[in-house]
Amino acid sequence: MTLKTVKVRLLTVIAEAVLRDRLVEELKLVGASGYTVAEVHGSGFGTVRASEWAGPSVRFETVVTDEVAQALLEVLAERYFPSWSVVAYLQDVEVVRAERYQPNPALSPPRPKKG
Amino acid sequence: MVLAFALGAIAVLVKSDLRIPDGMYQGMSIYLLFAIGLRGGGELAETPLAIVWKPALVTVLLGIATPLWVFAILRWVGRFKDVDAAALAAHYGSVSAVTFTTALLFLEAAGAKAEGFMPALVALLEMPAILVALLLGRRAQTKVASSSVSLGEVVREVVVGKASLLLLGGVAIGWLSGQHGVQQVAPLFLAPFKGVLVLFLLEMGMVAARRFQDFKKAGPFLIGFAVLMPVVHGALGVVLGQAAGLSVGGATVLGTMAASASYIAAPSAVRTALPEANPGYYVTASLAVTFPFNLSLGLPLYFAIAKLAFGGAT
Repeated sequence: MTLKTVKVRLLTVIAEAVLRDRLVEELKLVGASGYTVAEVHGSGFGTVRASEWAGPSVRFETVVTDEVAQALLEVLAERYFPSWSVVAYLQDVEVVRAERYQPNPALSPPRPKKG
Repeated sequence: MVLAFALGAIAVLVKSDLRIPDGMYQGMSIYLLFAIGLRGGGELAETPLAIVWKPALVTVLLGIATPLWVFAILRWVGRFKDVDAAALAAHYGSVSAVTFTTALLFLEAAGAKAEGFMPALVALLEMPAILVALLLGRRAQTKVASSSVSLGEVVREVVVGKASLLLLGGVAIGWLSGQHGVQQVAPLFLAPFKGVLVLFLLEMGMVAARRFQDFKKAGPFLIGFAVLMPVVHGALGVVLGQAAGLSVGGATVLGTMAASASYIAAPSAVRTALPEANPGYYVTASLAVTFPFNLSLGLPLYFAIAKLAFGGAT
């Protein structure tokens, strides 16, 4: 049996640990329905890491619609790319249950939450 | 203890596969900060206010004044950019908790025990220093500011950042529960303390050694600064400590506090609030130059200055 899949986007953002909480906020604001975050290791050759205390870098993965992905990239480009070490890339992925990855209703006009 | 630091540095230089796991590094920092706080708080509960207020006042004054002249020196003599000067000011104004702790143990070994409430002063020096420096940096930043962080966030970062929270929280808990309460957790927080510190210094040696290659990016002026500034601050701290009525040990520790450069609270605060500043300057200077300098030559030097100052006074 082949399940019917729908194309959505996978946005991956790798950033310094100090940005962790702020990026979660940005993800919520643009309407992502969820995210996965992992602590990862790596380095740009030639860049200097600022703080061991803040911990290793973080990698966010979020499956979203193209609009949400673009909105987040814009926010990143405007506020984060100039000053911090941030890598972001976008991929096409296919999912079952596409409705799960629709923008979070938090942004659109309020409506009663479903349990 | 210096030997553990050296071993860590050697491990990196010979490319050993030794790596302290992240979780352990974080865990040890949390343990050390909290333990320092508890210890200090416990002692503080036993100390009458009349003895504490003068050293406390001096400490706050140091915290406000040192970033100002560090900024001025770097900005106008060193020709650094405003943000870089401010970032360095935040580091050199604030305290390295590990250098501080090493100083306490060094003095205990030398038979000149410092006052027990010194850890409470660490928090007092740390917060104003980072705040003043970040404010200097933000003043400069308004010109570029696309990624500017609000003032409230800066204050929040400094006051409730995990380093301050643990240290202050530890002091508060230690103070509230008193010496008796602290003794109950002594098997975990006081007895293994030195051992954990040694292990942490091993890691710090590795962290610092990984920065050695960044030397050339820092330039000779900054390296000179990172050695001379601690000596000036150290002497100043000793003299002020003496004036505030501290013992030889206490004055030495205050000197060490003034001399040391933070690499726990300050780098994260600076990275958050002044992202334009170049970590190649501030992390390299504080971690790869000042920290090893203070551990090896600085501590005995400040102790010698203190003995000289007190010897001259009596």
